Amino acid sequence: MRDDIVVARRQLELALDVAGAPCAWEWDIRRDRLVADARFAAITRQDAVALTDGTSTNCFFNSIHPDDLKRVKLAVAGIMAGSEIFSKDYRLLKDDGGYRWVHANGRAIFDEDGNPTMFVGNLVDVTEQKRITEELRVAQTAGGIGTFEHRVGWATITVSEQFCRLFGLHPARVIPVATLNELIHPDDRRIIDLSFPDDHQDVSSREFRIRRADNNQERWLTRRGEYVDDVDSAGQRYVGVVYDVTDARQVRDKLQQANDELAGIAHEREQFIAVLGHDLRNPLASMSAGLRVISKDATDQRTTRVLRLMGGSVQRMSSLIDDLLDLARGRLGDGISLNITKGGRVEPLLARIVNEILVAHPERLIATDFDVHRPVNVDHARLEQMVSNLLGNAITHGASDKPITLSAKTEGDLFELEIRNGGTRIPEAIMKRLFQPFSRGEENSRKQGLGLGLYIASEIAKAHGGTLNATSDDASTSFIFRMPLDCQ
Amino acid sequence: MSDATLTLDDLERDALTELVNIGVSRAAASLRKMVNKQVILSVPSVEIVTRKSAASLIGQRENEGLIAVHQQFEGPFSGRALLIFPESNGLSLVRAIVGDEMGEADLADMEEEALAETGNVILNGCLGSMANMLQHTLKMSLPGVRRGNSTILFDVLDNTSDQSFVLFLYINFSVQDRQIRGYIAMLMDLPSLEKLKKLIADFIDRVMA
Repeated sequence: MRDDIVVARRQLELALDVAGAPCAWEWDIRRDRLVADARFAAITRQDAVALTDGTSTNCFFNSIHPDDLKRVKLAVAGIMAGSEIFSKDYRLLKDDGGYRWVHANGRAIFDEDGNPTMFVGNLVDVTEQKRITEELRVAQTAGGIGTFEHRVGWATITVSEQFCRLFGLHPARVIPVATLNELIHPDDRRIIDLSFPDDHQDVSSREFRIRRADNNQERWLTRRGEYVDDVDSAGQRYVGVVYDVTDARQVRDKLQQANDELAGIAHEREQFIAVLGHDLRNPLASMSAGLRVISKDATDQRTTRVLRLMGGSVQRMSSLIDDLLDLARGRLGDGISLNITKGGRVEPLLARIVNEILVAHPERLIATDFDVHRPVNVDHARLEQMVSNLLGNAITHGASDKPITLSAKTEGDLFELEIRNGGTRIPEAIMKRLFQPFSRGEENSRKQGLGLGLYIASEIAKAHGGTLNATSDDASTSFIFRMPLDCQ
Repeated sequence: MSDATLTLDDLERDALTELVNIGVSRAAASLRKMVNKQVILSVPSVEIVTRKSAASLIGQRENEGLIAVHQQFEGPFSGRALLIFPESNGLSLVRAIVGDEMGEADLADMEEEALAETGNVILNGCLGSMANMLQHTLKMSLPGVRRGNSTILFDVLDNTSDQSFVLFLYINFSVQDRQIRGYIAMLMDLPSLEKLKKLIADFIDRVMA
């Protein structure tokens, strides 16, 4: 062969070697000659040409890391003595003084008397694989994830160390499927169902219970897997992972339980409020009627003044009770019920509300901007309730030196109403709970009502098929009510 | 007994594994010829454990009853070799060996005898080749068949003070298509282990020479 071709071929073999291609050997035991390809020659630092014809096996042993030499020699001795299968990982020295890990797979061929005649096999660089395997092992242990592999038709399953740990089994590479199935709760799906050994297993992700082999503890595990082509057998292997989800399930169950309890408590509370509100109405109505009767007969100024104050208090109590009942309706029933006025105009209503507020707060400025071209079908009383509430909030919480604006418009199929006031930003924490019942701003909390105003306003918006949203920045705060025009 | 005698170093363990490999290859070859099916073997495990732990190593994997062919062996080292299956596999194995012609009833009648003969061939091949490698001969008892759980098969005494260690070697094997699987196991007494260590050392020396 021409020299340049030999060089080129050697370079190719080296490139293939780097790519992890296996290199083959044949060991003629009777002649004690080793025949191998050029890649084997390169990886074991031997002369490629000589190896093609066969060399003494000593050269091969010289290429092995001294710490692994005895192990390899032992395994080779095993083959010479009748072992059928050779499977060993060991290190080969490199020219630069380092080493590479290789995996050797071999098989003895016997003559009719059962004596080995040939020892054939191949060698593959597994340095990278060793590194990854080590990383995987650490990852499996740290993540508590066990892996398994099952071949269609086999009664055994190959598993990882961590897999065994999860089941409380002694670490072993191969375990019987029946062993696993015995540990799985009879009501739960098995990982491998041997009733149909020739079929594919169910690979859907599932949670199942096991009884650990070491301490009989019940644990919940999850398995996930898929079928991959088996390089060895041209069949398919079911490869998957299992991990423990007992703790996650416990947390989930506890949360669910706590949620149920809270929902129960909330329901009781709302029922109590509904009953209380309802029962308070009657005595309050009697008081109101009584006050009216006495007021007619009252003559002296002092009595009249006290009666007027009492009337105001009854009025206030009555509106608090209305709020409570609205809450109870929103929470317990089908929401707030509406009495829609069809085809009515809302601008006069809005103007009247603004005027009433201005009478009570003459020092404040409320600008209005109406751009309503279509009839808006709303419950007028409820809209008034919402708008007075929002305007009231704007007066109480907004900057007193900044005007409040009330704008209303129809745009496309939407009716939009915005109330904006100047002032500082509403803190994030308060924004989150703004529309929850019994939520009140921190300051002046004593001055305010029950903290139901915004909750009821948003319930009114919902009852109209609309929404109530709030935005707040450093300069102003705005509440926007939007509702579809065509839904009623 | 000093601690040193209780442990095997890595090389001794490798050597012992290789010895078991040789023995089990012979055993698998016999089994393969008998059932005419593919037989796969696991890598042998070599452990020094109490009899009780040895029993639990097998027992915790097996919930059904086991059936075992066992043979005592004596020589420079002594102990017991066992070929173990789940009880339900016994008949399948006999069926695999004798073929499908034989009737169900005849098969059941000859189950124990057939298993004993099968076990004898497999275990003899295994131990014989191991002994050969160590350049000694072993005297083997006639095979017996036992049924029960692993504690019965391994003679675990109820007496918990019995903490004696044994050398426990075992492999799993399975036969494709027949769903037959089992173990080849060996239990060796520790006084034997001391002798075995010496023999292994000689074996290693011969190999390295």
